Amino acid sequence: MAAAKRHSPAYKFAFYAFMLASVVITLFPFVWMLSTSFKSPGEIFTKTPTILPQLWTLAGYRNLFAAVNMGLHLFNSVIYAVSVTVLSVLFNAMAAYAFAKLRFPGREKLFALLLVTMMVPGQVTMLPVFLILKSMGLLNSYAGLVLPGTAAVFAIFMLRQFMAEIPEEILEAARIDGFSEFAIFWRIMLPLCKPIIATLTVFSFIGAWNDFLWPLIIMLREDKYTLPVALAGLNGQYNTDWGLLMAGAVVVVLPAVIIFLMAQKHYIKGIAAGAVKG
Amino acid sequence: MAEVELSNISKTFEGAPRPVLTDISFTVKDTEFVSLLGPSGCGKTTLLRIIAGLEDQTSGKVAIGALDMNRVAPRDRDMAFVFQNYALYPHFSVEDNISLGLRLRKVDKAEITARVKTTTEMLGLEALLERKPRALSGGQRQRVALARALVRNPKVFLLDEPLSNLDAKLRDKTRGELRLLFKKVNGTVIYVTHDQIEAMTMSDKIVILQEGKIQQVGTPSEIYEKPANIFVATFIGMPQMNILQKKEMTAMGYALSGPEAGLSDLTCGIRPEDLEVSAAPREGWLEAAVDLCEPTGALTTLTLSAGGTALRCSTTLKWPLAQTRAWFTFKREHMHFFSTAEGTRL
Repeated sequence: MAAAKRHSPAYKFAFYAFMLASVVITLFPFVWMLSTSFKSPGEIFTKTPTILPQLWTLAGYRNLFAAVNMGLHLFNSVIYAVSVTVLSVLFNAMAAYAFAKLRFPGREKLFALLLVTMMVPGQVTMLPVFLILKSMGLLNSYAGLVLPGTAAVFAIFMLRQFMAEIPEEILEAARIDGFSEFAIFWRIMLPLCKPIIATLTVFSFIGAWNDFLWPLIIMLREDKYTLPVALAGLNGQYNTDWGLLMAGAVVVVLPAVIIFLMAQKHYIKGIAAGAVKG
Repeated sequence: MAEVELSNISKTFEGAPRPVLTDISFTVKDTEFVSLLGPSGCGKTTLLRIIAGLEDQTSGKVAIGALDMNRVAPRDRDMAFVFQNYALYPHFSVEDNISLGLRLRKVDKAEITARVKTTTEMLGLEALLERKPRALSGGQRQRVALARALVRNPKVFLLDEPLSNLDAKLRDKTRGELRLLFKKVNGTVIYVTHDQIEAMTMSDKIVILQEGKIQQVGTPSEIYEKPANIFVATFIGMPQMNILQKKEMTAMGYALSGPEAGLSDLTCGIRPEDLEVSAAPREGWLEAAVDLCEPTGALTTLTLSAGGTALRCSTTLKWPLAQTRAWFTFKREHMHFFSTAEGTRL
């Protein structure tokens, strides 16, 4: 990453111009969403679009909270995203620890089999999983919503790679010091995996928070809808209240942004750890 | 503190064609400092790990204080292990690194504080207690690893090349300190090293291993003065012992006297310092060319060639660098005799 050679001013100018353009392209939809959520319905459809609202209004937000039971759907979303995140990090880390550090017959073969399942698209398993949950009587329940997300092969893979780099001697020192195998996992392994866990926390939280299809399938009653599902219902067939919809989008995006900013430092480290050894 | 007894330990790793350890038996007495010495890959670290319970032996028995340890988990063996790379917990402070073993064993809090204090004072770590391992130098990490072992007051200390990551000067200093430290705590120590100086200077007893087999067990002086075979003879001592076949000695013009003279299956060993050398001709001494002269200060090592055979010789003489001829003789009483076929001492 450290610049090994010096670049000409023209190169630097082009480089920064390109980066700036990328930032603008990335940020524009967010700015547009935010600005639209504060615009009046009239201003949203003016001939010459304005970047910032000329007249700031909270009408979109008021209509949103009047149209749907925000508290309820927010609660459902939080339950879904937090449960999936906590449980998946825990279970995936446990599986990864076994694959990375415990010796048992068939370990490599089992891990290879696990990786193979990554090639099966989620849509293929959706129906069987739905039927299984139905036979377990878990339709329309939080358990049914959360359960399939509590193990992820990709996360197990990432965690295993990270754990494999942690020297065996540290675990052996712990074994001699008197740690139980679970204590080694809990007090040594997990803290040392902080960067990768932060990364996976962001991945799984945002994944679950934004998830639309699975909550739509598993939750049959409106009072069990998560935010994205509830908001999709506001998209009318003939007309759409864009101010309201954008206000809803802001409410959905905000927690994800906050989580990302909180974990950012570790998140970047975790991504780099996957790429660069050492 | 306790005695460690190994009986007929053998180990073959799964899928490996040959065993890494074959029929290892020896006893480490209470408070004894024993070194396991051998070249890389001789199985010494594997043996130490078997004693610690980190590795299972294929056959044989490990006993500590007459208790069979074969089915006992590492944490219940009451041993402390100092790893080559120290293996400190990176996310715990120095104090936690040292005290965790005691806390997990539910030792009384006041007692932990007292023991941590004594140990860290002994090793000069008082000022570093709050630091994380990454903020320590190599020498400091090594002392933390030692403190972690010492604070537990275990029956046996197992050390796996603890000095190998230190620079030469620090290693030299730490060697003496370690010996004093373990004397002070009356520790029973098993120490793995590939450095003969460490083994010779620190140990009460040395176990020499090669290709997974014990070559000799003895005190440093026994091993130096009466090597059991050609491997031990050439492995211990710097510069290495000269090994001469009977016919090479004859070619030099040396006539062997004494009871060994009549044997045909004979290899002679003579340490470089057991050659007498002179820059001027002497009555009855053999003549040689000086191929190389390596002065190291107090001692000078000469590489001589006589009758087509190279010989190394250490002398306290100030050897004139321009001198290309030398006259030498062997100190007969310091010669070692081995069977050429078996390699064993006669």
